[in-house]
Amino acid sequence: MKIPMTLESSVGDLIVVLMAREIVNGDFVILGVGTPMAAAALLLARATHAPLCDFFFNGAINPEIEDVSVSLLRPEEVYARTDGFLSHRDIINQQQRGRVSLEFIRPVQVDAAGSINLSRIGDARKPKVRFPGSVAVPDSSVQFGRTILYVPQHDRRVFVGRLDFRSAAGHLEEGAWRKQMGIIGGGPSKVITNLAVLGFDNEQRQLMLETVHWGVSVEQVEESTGFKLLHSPHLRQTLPPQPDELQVLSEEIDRHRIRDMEFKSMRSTVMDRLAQLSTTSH
Amino acid sequence: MVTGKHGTAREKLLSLEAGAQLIPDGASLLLGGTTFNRKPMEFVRALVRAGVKDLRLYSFLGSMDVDLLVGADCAAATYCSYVGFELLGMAPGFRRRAEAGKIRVWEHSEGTFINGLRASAMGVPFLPAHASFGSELLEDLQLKMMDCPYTGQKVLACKAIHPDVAVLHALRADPYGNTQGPGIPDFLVDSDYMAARAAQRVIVTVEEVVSPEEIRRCPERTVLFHYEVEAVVHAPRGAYPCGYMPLYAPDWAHLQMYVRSAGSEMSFQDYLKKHVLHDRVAG
Repeated sequence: MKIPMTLESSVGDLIVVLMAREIVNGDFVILGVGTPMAAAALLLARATHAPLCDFFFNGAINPEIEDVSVSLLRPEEVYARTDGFLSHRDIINQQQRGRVSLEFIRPVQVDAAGSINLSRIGDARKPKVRFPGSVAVPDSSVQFGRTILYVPQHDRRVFVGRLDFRSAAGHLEEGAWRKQMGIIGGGPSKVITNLAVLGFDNEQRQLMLETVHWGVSVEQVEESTGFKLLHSPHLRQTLPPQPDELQVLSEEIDRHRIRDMEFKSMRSTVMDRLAQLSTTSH
Repeated sequence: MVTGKHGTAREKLLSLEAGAQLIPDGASLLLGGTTFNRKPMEFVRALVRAGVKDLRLYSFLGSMDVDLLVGADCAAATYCSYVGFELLGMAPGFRRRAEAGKIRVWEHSEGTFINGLRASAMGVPFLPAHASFGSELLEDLQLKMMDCPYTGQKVLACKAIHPDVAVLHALRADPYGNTQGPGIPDFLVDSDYMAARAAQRVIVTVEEVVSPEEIRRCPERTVLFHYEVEAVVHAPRGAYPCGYMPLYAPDWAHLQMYVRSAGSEMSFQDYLKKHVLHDRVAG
């Protein structure tokens, strides 16, 4: 069955490919729940350039996931083919000891220092908007080797000059704060969006433009960002997804495009697809 | 025979409705499970039917359990690191009550939540942690940083969390409360037992009630002992529409339908009538 591509799906594929490229052999990645784009990126990296990265998913270490949809529809199959299980106690301990090297995070708001809001807009007692919450992001930001943020829609609502609330700390005080506090984790290292890839400059530890996607201008990225973006001295164009990357992604990793669920506009379409799958797969 | 508060090996099987009566208005109630796994949903529905009020709800990763209790006006406050429906979107009932100022949301990070429960389970007033540094959640929760007395290293002092009651859904128990979990460790399943051991009282709902002999046939699966458990409630498919692996996966279609229904007050009330209050409606 050929699933028709939409604008969202091609943006999603681009971001997944760029996320996958950040994973290296030797990484220990924690896959959050409800992040199919991150799951697709991890499986893509393992199927291509980083077969030797380890990962934790739903309590299991390196489960064999033949397709992203299987992890949702038939989790028992995932559990049947794995190196083993790590208890909550042990994964929490390993995180706190600095054993985890990478997690992908989708922020609601992010500022120039890479601090993140996942909590609320407005007062605690009567917030204007209440988000689901910050899960382990406040912790991973100070414990993990690095975190990589992904933003499917790069605009001024996400990239803000001032956060409404700081759920998790980025590089406060131009990086001095992390040293003072003896923080073991590296904090945010990259932000991957539908327009560009951002990194942090070495001196001020502020977000800077590293690569701009084809067809996107530097001005467009700047206009979509609510603070002044630094420019990398090596600013260039993003290497587009290659045919082999897209092919593995669409034909092996996530054939039913579960990753599109991260776009609100596509959620019900994907849910219908999942429902069909669950009735046909038994 | 061991005796103590709940120590005597007595039978403690209760009906769902009698179990719900053990939760007084205003109780701090910890719900086991993580997002769509092992949620004690049958018990949650019984609490809604019982009309319990002003609960202070603790859930590590909340979903429909918290949303239903908040939406049905059973709760005054929540203490969670997440309340949402993952891929299905935000928690509509929770959001509506929070944004109207009807409940107080005390957001935790996973680190402050788990270390607070760990402290309680260990019997210490706080636990030092390398977690959540620089998060404004710490100010909300009034958690303090401190220096390690030996190394000077900065640590977060996670204050102990002492829930009055923990309710969790497990695979099976005998009538005395010896409780067993699944053979394959489900996602973060041990956090349920740790949380139970941080609470004052524990109620388990189970898929199956078995004999003490059956429990003794696979003692390696026992996760809580009779002297820790106050009541056992038989609730087959008690996590539905959330899942209990490996017996059943979450019912995504139902969850999706719930999220849609909970989007407005009127359709939420319809959902309650149809799927939660039916026992009362039927008399």
